[in-house]
Amino acid sequence: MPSSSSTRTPRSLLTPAALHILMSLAEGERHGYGIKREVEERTDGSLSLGPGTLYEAIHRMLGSGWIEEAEGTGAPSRGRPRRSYRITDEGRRQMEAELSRLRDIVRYAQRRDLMPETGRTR
Amino acid sequence: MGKAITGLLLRLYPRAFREVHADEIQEFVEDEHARWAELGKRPGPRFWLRTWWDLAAVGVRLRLRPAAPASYPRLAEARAATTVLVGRGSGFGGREPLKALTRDAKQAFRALRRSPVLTLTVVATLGLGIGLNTAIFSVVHGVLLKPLDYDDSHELVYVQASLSNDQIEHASHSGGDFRDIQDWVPALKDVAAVGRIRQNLTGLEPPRRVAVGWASSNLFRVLGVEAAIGRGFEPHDPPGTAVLGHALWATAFGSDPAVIGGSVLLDGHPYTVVGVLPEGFRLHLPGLTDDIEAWKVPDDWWQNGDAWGAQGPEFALFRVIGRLAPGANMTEAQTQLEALAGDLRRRFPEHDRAGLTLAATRLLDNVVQDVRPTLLMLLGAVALVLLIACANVMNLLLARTRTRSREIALRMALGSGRSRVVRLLLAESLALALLGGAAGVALAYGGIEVLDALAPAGLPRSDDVTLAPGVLGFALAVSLLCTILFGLTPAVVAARATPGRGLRDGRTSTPGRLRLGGALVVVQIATSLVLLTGAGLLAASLIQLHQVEPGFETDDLLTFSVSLPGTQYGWPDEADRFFRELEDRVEGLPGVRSAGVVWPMPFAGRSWSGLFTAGDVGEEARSYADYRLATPTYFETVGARILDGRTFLPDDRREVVLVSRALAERAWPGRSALGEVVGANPWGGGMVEFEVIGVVNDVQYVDLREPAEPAVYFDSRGWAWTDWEVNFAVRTAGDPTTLIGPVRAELLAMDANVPLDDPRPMADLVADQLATNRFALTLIGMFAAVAGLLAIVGLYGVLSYTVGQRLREIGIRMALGSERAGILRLVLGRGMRLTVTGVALGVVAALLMTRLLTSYLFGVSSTDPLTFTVVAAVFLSAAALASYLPARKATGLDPVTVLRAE
Repeated sequence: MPSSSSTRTPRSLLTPAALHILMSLAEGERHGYGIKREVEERTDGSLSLGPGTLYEAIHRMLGSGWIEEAEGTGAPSRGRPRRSYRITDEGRRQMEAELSRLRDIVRYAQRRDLMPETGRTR
Repeated sequence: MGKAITGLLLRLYPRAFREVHADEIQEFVEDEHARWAELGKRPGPRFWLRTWWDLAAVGVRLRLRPAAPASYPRLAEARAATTVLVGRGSGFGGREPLKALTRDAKQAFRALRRSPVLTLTVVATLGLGIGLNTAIFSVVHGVLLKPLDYDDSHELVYVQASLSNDQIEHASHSGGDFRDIQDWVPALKDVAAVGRIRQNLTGLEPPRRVAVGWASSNLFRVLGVEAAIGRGFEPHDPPGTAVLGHALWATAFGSDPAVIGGSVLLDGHPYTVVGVLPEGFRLHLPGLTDDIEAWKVPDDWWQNGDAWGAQGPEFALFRVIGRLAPGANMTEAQTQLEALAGDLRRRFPEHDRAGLTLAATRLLDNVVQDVRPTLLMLLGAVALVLLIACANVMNLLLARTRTRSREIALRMALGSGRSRVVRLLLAESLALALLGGAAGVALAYGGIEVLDALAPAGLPRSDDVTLAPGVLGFALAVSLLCTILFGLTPAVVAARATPGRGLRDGRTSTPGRLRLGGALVVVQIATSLVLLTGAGLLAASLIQLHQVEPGFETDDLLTFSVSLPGTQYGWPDEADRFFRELEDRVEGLPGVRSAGVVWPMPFAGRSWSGLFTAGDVGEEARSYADYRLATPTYFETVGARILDGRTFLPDDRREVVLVSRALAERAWPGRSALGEVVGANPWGGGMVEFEVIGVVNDVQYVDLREPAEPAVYFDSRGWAWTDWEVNFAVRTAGDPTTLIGPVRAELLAMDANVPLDDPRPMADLVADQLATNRFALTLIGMFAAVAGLLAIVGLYGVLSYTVGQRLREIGIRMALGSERAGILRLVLGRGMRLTVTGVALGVVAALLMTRLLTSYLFGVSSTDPLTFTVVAAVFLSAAALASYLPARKATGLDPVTVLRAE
């Protein structure tokens, strides 16, 4: 059991999936599958979002007002218009906050010499 | 198909989610499927596994947290917590599912290593449960499920002849009936007949008596068995052709291949050996013991007399098996056999009188039908043990989950999803179950040996009981089932925890969770009480059976048989002289008090009966009595008392008999039977009148459970004593087995070619009677002991845990001046409430379930109040002790220490 003497209790953080979706939409409107493809390419295949994970995050972020449905239709697929999403200002703020938090963590780790030279930690 | 399953999985999601995204998700899956195909990766099982795993996992997570906000909260606070690193793998879809599984497994084993005592306890408990189940299932598999070891054995049909008017379930077929089955049942393409006799195998040192199968020459072809050496029978093999079983070839002929073409002597006749059967071959047929060691085609007298065509009951010597013709089924075979039986009843009055019916049954079903209920009952009982073991483990894990609530809360606070926590705990359970399964298989490996030693001699196919792949598969399946049984609830309970509370308290003890533990204990107690009651009833029956008076002294009594070949001994005089001399020689041995001859021997599995008339009995209705042959010294030797009159004397005429008390009291109630006349037909043909010279007390003969039948004892002198197993009884001064050597020496001194057959103490024969009862009792008793122990341990565990959780409350109570007695009552009271509830439920369940045992019970009813009371009382005492220990611990607490610690 990890010791927890000095832990403060944070509320829920962004899941990696949510962050990546926000980052993907920050570059432009996309439909669900488009987001998945973009994230996969960007991360060299190391993050492959499954349909449940993707749409759970989309559903939550729609509810939070971080993303919204694009007014127009996206590229039609098999004759049907597809629902596309785009990032809102609030979403952009959240993404930036999360990224700067991560940056702080990385900087802290670098100062303490915790970062490996290359490759993955585990 | 894929789309349908995806749609099904989407049903897991909350409605609001589904309405918006279901179509999108289907499209997503189609797109991904198409892309896999484009990339040249076959979107096969791997693709669907990944997709569905993700959908299911997220769906379950959403379901488990129905109250979760549909949106993300503000992250302002989170931003402050930059020193907190998000736990590895915080989401679901982050990695491939297979990698996630490996990671879960690693983490699970690490967690188990951290608490070795708990892990060992759980693995031992599960090992016991799974091991017992696997061992019993190995018997069920080997005996009931595994196909018989013949080619395409499912095509083999046993043609069952029953004589409904004589209450004979498995009757033999005459040669003529067999011919008719061959000719008139086209659904059977090949039909064979086989009978079993015992004969003296001589020309060896020492000679031995062997079971010999005599069969139509197509038997091995029907079974699909080829000889290991030489050949099997061929259609025109002359009488005097023999095939040896592998075991006989190895033990009696030293595995010498030169035996092929040579000859062996059976009852003094030479037989030419043409082949040796493969190792392990046994003939399994209902009603025939599977001990046949040598095979022959029917002898001269049978074939020359065209006995194959004979169709009377006196020629009924065969069991018949056939193989289904291509395209034919059991129903057709059954219909054709029924038609044939009708025809036979019309043609032969004797068949009509006996009520002959013919039925097509699967050979395997028929071979194992007698043991099926016992084995299934044992499997049911042992499944209950597993249930109790799982309940125990579940309670342990629940307790552990609660003490780990801090760790779990932390994980969740750090971003682990609930599903992640559920998955981790399930992975731990799975690891425990697999370790338990491995321990169980090891236990079963030893258990099979024990079962083999315990199994009653009549258990068919006991050679086939092994840890076969099917049995190992069963163990694995049971382990997985256990994971669900004991792992799911603690995992879900853990995931329902609120992180805030878990972190604040460090310990949570909501009454609801204690109630779940209590409910499990109640179920355990009830279940084990059912098993204990069953064991109690079986034990009571065995005690009753041991108290049955068989009517003679079974201790210090040696039995054996001798059969004289008719080719060398004339009858009746020569054979008679031989047996009388043997009786005298044995009586003269030191350590022998007396010797006598009888046929049949009590409890040797033989019976002989016929009609009788005596007084008013049997004049109108047909009355049957057991017929027995005896020498004058038999009664004194076995210790059967002559209540009235005397035994046979040398100058008695032939037509005198002794009768049993049951017969005398029925025929001549309230007066002496001496000098009365009994009608009987021991020689066949018409009834002959016999004068009663004595009355013998009733002797149990065939089954200890059945009351003794009326019996008539005939003087054995002058009977056809050749080619016949004559039974000797020898009263010894000490251990009867020490006399086997000297008796054999006397016999061989008289004729070196006559084997001493089946020398056994009578006590063994009686014990065989009880073998099935003892088998059932030993196993059910063992299961019940394990179950009871687990239930008591479970109760103790839950109470100890309760005390641990309520330390503060107890401390306050004591600080406020509660008497120690009050605390004792508090804990003891909870224990006893659980126990009494469990016992009450258990008694009700036992009342419903013990009737399944009825056929194993003797002298007690399945609802025997005494047994129920004793079992409940014993269990309550044990439970009281198990409750007292934690209660005493609670009263021994120092309130100051307790409160300070909090």
